[in-house]
Amino acid sequence: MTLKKGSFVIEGLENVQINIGNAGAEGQIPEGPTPRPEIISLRNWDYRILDRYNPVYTPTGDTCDFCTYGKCDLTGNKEGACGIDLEGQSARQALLTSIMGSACHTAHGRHLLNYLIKKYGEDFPLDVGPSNLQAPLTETIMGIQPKTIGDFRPVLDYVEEQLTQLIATTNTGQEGAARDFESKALHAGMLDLLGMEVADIIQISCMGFPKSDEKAPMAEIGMGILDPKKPVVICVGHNIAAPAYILDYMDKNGQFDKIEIAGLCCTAHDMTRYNKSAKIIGSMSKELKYIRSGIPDVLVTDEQCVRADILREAQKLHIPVIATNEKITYGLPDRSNDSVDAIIDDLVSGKHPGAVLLDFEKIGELVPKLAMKIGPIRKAKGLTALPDDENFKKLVAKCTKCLQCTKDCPESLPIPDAMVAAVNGDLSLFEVLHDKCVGCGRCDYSCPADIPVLNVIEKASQRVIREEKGKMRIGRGQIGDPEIREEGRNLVLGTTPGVLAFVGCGNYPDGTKDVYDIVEEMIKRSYIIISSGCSAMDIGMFKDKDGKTLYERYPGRFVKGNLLNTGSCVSNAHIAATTIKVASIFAGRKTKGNWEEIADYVLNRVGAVGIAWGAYSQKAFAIGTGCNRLGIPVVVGPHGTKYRRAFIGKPYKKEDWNVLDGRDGSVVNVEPAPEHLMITAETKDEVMPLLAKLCFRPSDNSLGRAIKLTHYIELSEKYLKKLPDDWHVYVRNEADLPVAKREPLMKLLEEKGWKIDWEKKKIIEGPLRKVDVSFQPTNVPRLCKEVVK
Amino acid sequence: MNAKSQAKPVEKQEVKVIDTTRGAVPFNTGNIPGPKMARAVMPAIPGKMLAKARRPLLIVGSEIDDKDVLARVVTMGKAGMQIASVGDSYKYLADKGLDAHYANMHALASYLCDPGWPGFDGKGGYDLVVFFGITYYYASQAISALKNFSNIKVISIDKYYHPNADMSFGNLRKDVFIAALDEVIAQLPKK
Repeated sequence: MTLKKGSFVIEGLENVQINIGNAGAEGQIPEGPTPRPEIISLRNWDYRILDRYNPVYTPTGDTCDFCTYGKCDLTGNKEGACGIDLEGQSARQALLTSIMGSACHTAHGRHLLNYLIKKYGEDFPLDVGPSNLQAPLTETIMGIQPKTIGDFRPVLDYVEEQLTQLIATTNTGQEGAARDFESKALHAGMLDLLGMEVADIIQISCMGFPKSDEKAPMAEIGMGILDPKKPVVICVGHNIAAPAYILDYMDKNGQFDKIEIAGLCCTAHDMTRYNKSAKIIGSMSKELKYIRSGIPDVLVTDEQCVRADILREAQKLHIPVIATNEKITYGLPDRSNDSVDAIIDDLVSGKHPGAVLLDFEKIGELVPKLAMKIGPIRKAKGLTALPDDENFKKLVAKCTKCLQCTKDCPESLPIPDAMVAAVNGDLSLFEVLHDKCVGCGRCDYSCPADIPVLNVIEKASQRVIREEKGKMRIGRGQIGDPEIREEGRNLVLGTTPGVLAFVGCGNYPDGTKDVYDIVEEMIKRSYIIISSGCSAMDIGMFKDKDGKTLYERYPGRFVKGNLLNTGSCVSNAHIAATTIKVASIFAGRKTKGNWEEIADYVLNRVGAVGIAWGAYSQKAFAIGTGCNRLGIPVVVGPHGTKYRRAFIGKPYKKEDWNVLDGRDGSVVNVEPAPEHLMITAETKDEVMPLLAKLCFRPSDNSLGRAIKLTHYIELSEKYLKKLPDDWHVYVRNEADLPVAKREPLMKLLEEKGWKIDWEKKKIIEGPLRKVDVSFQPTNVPRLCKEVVK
Repeated sequence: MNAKSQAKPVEKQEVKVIDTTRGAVPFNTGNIPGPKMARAVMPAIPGKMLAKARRPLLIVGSEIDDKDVLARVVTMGKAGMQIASVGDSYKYLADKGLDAHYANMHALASYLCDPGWPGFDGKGGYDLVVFFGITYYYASQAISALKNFSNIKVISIDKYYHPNADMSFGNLRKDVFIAALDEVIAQLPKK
């Protein structure tokens, strides 16, 4: 008899269920009502979010050109020919943005999964470190606990199927209601978190990455860290599969002292997680700058955050491009079946500017060999896009101060002022611009005098570039269960003021240093700082007066006042998953197939906030939207308004802030906490008090609330020069007040009409509600005990 | 010779005329929202509209750190304008004794679109919003919400042309910008 996969019961042993299938994952019983949620399974939860945090649309365009009825003018929320209005169209764009980001991470995960199953087998066990809850997002969404990498196959099958369903809803003649587009966008965001979790867990498990390692080693980072005299290999993108073979080959052949190898963007993270000899140049903002420096001798691309003009730029400097992933091929010939030597000959001779190469073994061998061969040739020619000293003087003198570069610059940088100063021999303004410049190169196209503006900025900044040498603690992966046990209580009660997750890209409104400054301020205040992706890199780019980076000054454990780097873009999943772990490990909430309850817990009790200060990509939007569905507020820099949708609460609408008390289902009107789910800020000085405010939760105990209120008030006074207008809203009794300011604040409360017993130093009347240590805030009626009865 | 012919010709006083309608193209080149874009106006128009508005609101942002610009904010505030101070701009206004209120620009855009918002002082929403001194693209995006989802008149008196406003100055040099603000201020009722 052949046993097939599935469950069966033997007659006479009705209490015994026998499961045949993959180890662990199949046959497990979900604990919640929504395992594998379909595109409207969690709509009620989404509506609860959307009713409080109303979508705010800031369209970048007032027309729709999705179908041949258009272009339709939707200005003033008019309807187009198909019946969709601007609100609906804006929500549809939010959904599409979320889908794009989610698809990107999921396709990355699928590529890795297929590759790793082929290499290690589907029964290769998961190992992410000291954790029983190894895949929190998978458990919460899918209702299964995966044990092997093969268990993730049905997970990605599910994500891909759901994404197809979601894409279908964006076709003309499908969904039309903004509210349901947003529910679907939240679904896509949740799928994004799942896709990322799969991608990172399998690479951690199979490729020897740090496993919840709070003491992961440091990696060098910066544009000034490489020895340009050696052959230089730069890997660009996010997918470790191909760079791992290059690193293995170099390791095996003892080439790390002969060849410099570093990464740009998240591939760099994963290269350092894979091999400590790898280095990091920086975020996508460094991509064009570093290529134009001429230092790279070989560029290896994989996927995501690779500039569309990378081949054109590389070709000008005779830097061969090896494209290693099907998603980005640049029209290059596929040389996967050719010999390594033949390909190298063609690249060194310039017959081809690059090659598509999908055979990892060949990539591993070819890239170091190519670097060794072409490196000396390129260096002998001194190839660089940057002007020499004489040409630099001529170029800056050509500037007519027409301001067109400033108008085209995403950051509106005052480039002409720097040109004028440079004419007079002062390069300091350019040196300042180097950090603020996001390296997009739009200025080059805009200059009517044909000044290669970016090259001029970089030439002028050579002194600061040489000194650009930082340190970053390499990606540690998940937060381990023991750390959650230690810290969960502090988080839920508020005695740790909050978890701030610095994620996303480098499109900062006023330079990279802002991120460092914000992190330094908040970590000194004992917030837990978790980082990932380009933000994690940029945090490590600056040093204090003793020459130490923040990673060297602060340890990497998940406790207050620590600085953690989870890793690359897909490691963002662990940040979101940490809140699930708190709900599960600290509070004992069931996870499997139980998204709504977990998200409800996170929204009301876990003071975690995401900050994507330089978010530019669809991926960042999807991550943020997924976090929103999980109850985590997200703040984006001012460029985030161009995402066209935010979720903003209205504190003046009292009825929006009703929650239920889980003990009896009674309605309690609470303070606006958290006040927003997705919002932007204009400057770093504005964002710091905002972050502190978004850490308030209804569940805070008095000690926790006093700590959070202290930081909110102090940050507002320090950076905005004012006591916040709404500080009193968060006061429930005198114990909530910051100890050092209790009396003067009580006087202010009295001026607002609150009644104070000065003898006992107690608040008698005034607060919105009283502190109740047993309060069980929830937004989900079925979770209330009375309702359950 | 009659008296008229004997009269001494009146010497024409030279008045410096500024034109704020020039350069009325989006400051960020690609920021073209659609068929409806702001009408470029001379300073007297927003000045008169402010003077006549029932519930005007001035919004200023992080770019008021320039002392000349800040001086104009203070003058407008002293003239009785209620001010929404967005971004980190409140730190420049904290000690000026103005009716200024911190607001997050994105949240403010949301509140302004809500007819139920009681305003900063509990007296209800606003019928005219005038703004300057805000990061260009940030302001442009925020007011696109007002343009499309509210009935509030929005006027930019910033140095940038803002297509999403109902009315806007063109892209101005600083000296012209300051002079334009002075002309707006000249229209405000004296307190």
